[in-house]
Amino acid sequence: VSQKILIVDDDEDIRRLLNMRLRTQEYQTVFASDGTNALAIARRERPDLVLLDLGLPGGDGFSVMERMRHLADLQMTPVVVVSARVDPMTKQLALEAGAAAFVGKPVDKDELFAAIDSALAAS
Amino acid sequence: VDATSARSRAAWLGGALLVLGLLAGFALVLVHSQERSRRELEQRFSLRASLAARFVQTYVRELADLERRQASRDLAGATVSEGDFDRFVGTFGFKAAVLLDDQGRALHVYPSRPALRGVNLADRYLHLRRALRGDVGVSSVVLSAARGVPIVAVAVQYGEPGRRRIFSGAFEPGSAPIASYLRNVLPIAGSRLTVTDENGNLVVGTPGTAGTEEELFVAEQELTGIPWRVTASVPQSNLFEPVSGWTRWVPWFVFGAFAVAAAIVLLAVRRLGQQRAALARRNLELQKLDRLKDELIALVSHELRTPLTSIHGYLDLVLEGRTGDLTAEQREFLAIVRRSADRLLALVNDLLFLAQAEAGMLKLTLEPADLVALAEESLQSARPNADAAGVELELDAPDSLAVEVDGSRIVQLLDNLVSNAIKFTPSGGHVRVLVARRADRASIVVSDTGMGISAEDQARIFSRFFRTAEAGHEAIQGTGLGLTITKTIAEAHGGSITVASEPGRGTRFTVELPVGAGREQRQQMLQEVAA
Repeated sequence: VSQKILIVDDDEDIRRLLNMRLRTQEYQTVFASDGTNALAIARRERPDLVLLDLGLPGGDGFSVMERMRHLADLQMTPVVVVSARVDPMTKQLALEAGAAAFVGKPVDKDELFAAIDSALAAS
Repeated sequence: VDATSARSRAAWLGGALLVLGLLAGFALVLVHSQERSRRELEQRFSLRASLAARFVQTYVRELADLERRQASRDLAGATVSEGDFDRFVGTFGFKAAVLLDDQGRALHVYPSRPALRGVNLADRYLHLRRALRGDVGVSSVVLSAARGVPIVAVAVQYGEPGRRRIFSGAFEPGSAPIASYLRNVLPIAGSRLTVTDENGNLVVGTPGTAGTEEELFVAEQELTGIPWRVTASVPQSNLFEPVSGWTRWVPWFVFGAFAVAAAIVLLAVRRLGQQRAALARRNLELQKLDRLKDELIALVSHELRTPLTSIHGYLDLVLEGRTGDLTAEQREFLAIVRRSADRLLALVNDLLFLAQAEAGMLKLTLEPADLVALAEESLQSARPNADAAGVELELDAPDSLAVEVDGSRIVQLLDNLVSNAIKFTPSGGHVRVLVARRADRASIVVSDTGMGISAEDQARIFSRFFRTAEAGHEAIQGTGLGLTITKTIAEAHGGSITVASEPGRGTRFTVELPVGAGREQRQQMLQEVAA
């Protein structure tokens, strides 16, 4: 059974791009475009991993991670943050908030897959 | 800020009022003391006038008394002969004299006027009537019929009841001791003292500045028992000389000087305060502007990343052939798009890096590393560009050189220097990277045989966005940020960068990094650089 990844990004082009990359690696994908939906879909779909943008409407990536940590069914799900906010401060805050890895935009596909592999292996 | 300025305004107002109050008080004291001095001078002058009056009164009474005593002794008894009378008058120096009986009729007259004998003179003269009543009689000023000079007569009564006589002797006041006394009683220049009778005729007086146009101070004193008046007058300027003239202005000069000094000090301090406030405002504006600039750079770099993510991602998908085969020309053109997108991303990264460094947010991850390996990594990635430009690229380094640095930043530094060297070196030239250790410092020297940099430009090449004119002419691509970033990285490591160049011959950049410096020390340097 292939693993399921939830892609959370408010930019449809980027959701589609990440989807194409993940499909070639035989991952299943589900999508959310804002923070509130992300949590609802995550609880319904029970993904193996979440690719999470930080700048989101309806609660940013940090609050999504915060709420995931308080939900029994989601607190073990690994999160890889994919964000354009690549400054060291944001990166550090994301990791402290519970992200397994941080991938900056524009996304390097090798870096992305390395982050996904290691996050899945650790969970 | 408004509350602060309102408070400081109130403080200023209070200070100014206090100073004004003090000055006004000072001025009042000065004016008061001047007034007091003037009053004192007036009183002193009036006192002298009344002294003069008393003297005149005493003198006249003494004179009358003397006459009475002399006359009662010398003229008492029998009928005084004409010769006796004349001798008596001569003894006292009277200019004229008359002896009357108890009815006021003339018995003797000197100088001899036979026509007056037996005439009742008391009917004619007030002072004789007063003498008849027993008072001291002093006449008005009369002109001596004989000599035409003003004379005054004193009349007294003497003798036993039933044989009363009135003696009246006239003297010239001007020649009397009164005049000399009056001259001395008023020592103030220009003062004048006069004794006038009830008709306003001058009895005696001192010469003065008659007819002066100056305002006079006048003190008058009536005599008692004698219908005369003593008048002392003096030009006010003379009377008040001790507190007038230029001396009278001295307190005002002092007051004025104080006021001017206080005003200057107030204005100067106020001006300083305003300048300080203006500077503070300006400083605040600059800080705001600086913050805005940093925020703008950070925002722009983030906002540019999202579209660049799509450009990169989809371009890669197409170039990978996911959408079908590409013609050679399609592939070539898309590769150009990809390189342009890469340059755009590099620019965004550079801007973000500098914004972070200036905000003090640049964090180095110092780890043990091999500087030679880092140099090899950088040269390897630069080799395709060097080959394309026809530039020979060589590394001169020992087997390894252990340092403690942020590896990715040092590679960034090397990439900047090496790619610059390749860009500015014409085909056939070469770029050499030398890595060596000197004492406790590691040095990286990147030299080329390129166009070189003028001495003038060498001083500015580390400034943000600076590009040499040659770079512009030769259409060599760049943002003018690479060397700024390189310098920032070198200094963040506690190192330095210098340039040496000869136009037309080549350029040599030398980076020196500490090898053995402790982590803490470098962290401290980093903070200083950031600050």
